[in-house]
Amino acid sequence: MNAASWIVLGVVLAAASVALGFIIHRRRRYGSAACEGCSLKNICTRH
Amino acid sequence: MTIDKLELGRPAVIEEVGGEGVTRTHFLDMGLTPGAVLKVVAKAPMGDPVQLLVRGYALTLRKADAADIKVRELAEGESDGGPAVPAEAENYGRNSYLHDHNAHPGLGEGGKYHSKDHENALPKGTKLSFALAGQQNCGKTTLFNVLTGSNQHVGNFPGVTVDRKEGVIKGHPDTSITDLPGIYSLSPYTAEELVSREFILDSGTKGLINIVDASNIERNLYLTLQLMELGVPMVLALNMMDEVRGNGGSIRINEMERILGIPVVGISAARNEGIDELVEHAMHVARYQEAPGRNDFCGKDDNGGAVHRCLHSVIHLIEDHAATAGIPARFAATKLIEGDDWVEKALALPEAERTTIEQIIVTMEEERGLDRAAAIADMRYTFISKLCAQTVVKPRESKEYRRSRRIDKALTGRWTAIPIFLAVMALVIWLTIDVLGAPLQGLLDDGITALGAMVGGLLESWQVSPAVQSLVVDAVFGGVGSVCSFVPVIVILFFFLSMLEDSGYMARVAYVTDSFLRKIGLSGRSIVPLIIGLGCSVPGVMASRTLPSARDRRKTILLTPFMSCSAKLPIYAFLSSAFFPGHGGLVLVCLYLLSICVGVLVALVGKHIDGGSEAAPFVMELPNYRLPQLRNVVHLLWDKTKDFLQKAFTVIFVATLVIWFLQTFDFRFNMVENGEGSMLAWVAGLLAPLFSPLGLGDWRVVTAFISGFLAKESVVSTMEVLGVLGTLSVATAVPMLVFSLLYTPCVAAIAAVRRELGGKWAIFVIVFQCLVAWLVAFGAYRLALLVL
Repeated sequence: MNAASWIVLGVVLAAASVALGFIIHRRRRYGSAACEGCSLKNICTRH
Repeated sequence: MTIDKLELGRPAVIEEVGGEGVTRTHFLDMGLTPGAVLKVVAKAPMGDPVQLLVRGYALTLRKADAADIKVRELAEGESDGGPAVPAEAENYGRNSYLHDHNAHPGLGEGGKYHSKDHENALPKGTKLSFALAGQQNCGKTTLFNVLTGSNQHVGNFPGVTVDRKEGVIKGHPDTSITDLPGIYSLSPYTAEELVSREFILDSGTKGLINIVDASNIERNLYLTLQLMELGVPMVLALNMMDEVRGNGGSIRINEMERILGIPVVGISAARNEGIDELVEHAMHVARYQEAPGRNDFCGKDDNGGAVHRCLHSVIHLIEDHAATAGIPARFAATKLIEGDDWVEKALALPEAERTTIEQIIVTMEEERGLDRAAAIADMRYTFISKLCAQTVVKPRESKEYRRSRRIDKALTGRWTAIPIFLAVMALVIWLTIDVLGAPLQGLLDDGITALGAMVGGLLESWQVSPAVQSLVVDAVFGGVGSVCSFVPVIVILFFFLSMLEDSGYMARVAYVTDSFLRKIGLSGRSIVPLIIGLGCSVPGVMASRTLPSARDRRKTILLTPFMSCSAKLPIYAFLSSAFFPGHGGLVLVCLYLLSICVGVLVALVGKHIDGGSEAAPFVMELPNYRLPQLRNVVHLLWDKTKDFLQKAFTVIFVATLVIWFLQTFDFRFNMVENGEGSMLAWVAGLLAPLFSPLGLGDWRVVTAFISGFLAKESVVSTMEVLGVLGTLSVATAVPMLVFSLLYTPCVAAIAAVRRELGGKWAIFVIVFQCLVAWLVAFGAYRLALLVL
């Protein structure tokens, strides 16, 4: 693979890492995908 | 006679409220108390439910429930002004020095009105946390948006605002405000009511902002009185004062403030009127912890004083227990008398005291001539009636209400309601897919394809390796790009759904479909989660929380994934354009009808398993029609677009890369041609025989289904990356469409089901839907082989 290939691969993998990090961040922030958009999210005692 | 036998338009007075349990409490909370005057103003297409006008607002009730409420028709000339108010209006003087009823009491204000002698100020720097409480559909979210500057979606359907709601009051960084779900009372009728009161009692909130719909003040104040019993510093915001004034009404705010002992501020949240004053008062009562000046609403001479004596006896008996449990004694006493299990458990009363209290309550019931729950509700409404008699000049029938009644003649009319509903839904789908969605989607798709080709050419000129070229062109542009092109279709669908909800039509749909839904064991309220499920199953499942019955909730949640969500639209459009060109709309209508038919069949089977037990009562308020606010709609669409793109560039992007990797390399990490021999081909090949009877035994098809479990949009990107179209024919496209329509919802929807019903039900949904999808797809395939 030439340098251009490594650079393009690096960019795609960096973007994938950012996307993955974002997914993990949201999971930690909201606990569960199910809680997103729920009106009781902030007050529900089941959390 | 009972309400169900009452003629249209004949006024009657309630004599006795039957029924039992929390449902009966809910009737009472909604203002259906002995002595209240009502009339039946309309009946749903199949004659059931009926629409009542009580305490100035429209309420729907099933005939079976209406049969529990005894009424007496009012004679000619008899007053229909509601419960009698004593001729000599009681002087509710909280502050005896205020002889002049027009004087401004100045509660919750600084300057000359603030006495430092009795202040109980919080230490400087304490964060002032507020809870925003109010009944459903009273403008709560509008006020929240004005207070915080946020853009939460505002609906016009009782209880279906599904947003995360916490913010900071603008200009006051040391504050926080939580928008509680809309509730009618603090009775544990719905999960929201229970959670709201737990929040107020346990979260250490420093102040309450209680918003009421001033144009429907009697019923709204019912919650206010209960909130005041909690002893938390609070401000009363009379919303929609502009509508009251516009319809010739007025409210003597100073007088109301003096009687209630809390600051009262007239506002119009929609027009941003009175907000600064409201914030100022809220900050003041919270900072100086000024509790409501009144929490006693039982007059000692009211109806012989039986309730007054009972309530005060119980308060004295439980005072120490209430203090230990951290529940305000007055609130605990009323709830105990009403028969609230949660309060009874929290107080942990010894047997002797429980017996004494029971005797006191029985004596009160005998003296008052009403049972305990009715007596307490009557006590509150009696106080409200007196308060309103002194302070409220009722507006004439509002033009908004008159307009709604005129529109309802068509939209909820006996012969017109169902055809109009079906026409509206068909129009929404047709406009979304054919008229508006398809051209916009085509345009976007062309743009993305051109961009992909350009980038591909660039990579070629840089002599980038074929594997990396494939990663960028096939995975990123082919996969994520093709999903992104469906943004217009999804945004347009959400636009129409939000129009239906904001206008108030969704509540009418619940009303007119209740009779049919009851036949399959659901409630009219179930229609809302089901229609929202057409957009996305996750909020659909969440919206089911507004259903008061656990059984209805469970059935609605299980049926919501059968409603084809918008994320599946790209699959239908992709396959239709390839195999049924020019008939996309017809294919889509057939798929939607099929999903509804399967859903109905499943519901009927569920009803049979349940033993055909009756659905929970349908008690719902019908809001006036309103024109959706442009700002509100634009924000909703922006949110949905953002959500969709966020999903495309996170979950779908990562999933596409993983699938590309698995289908491009074998187990020795050698690049393979066309996916044959790849890791993915091996894994999917294990499951492929299960799909052979459907004509879908190719590993690439199975892979597309597996990726759809992560997000339905991924099915299209996987089909694109793997070249699934080449493996299908017209006959096999049919089971492919049907299986995609009905098989397990995505992982986010399953997580929502797990949150609501538990892990076992979530697994049940996955297995059950796959099974149903397989069976129906098998039938469809056989039929397609015969016909096509």
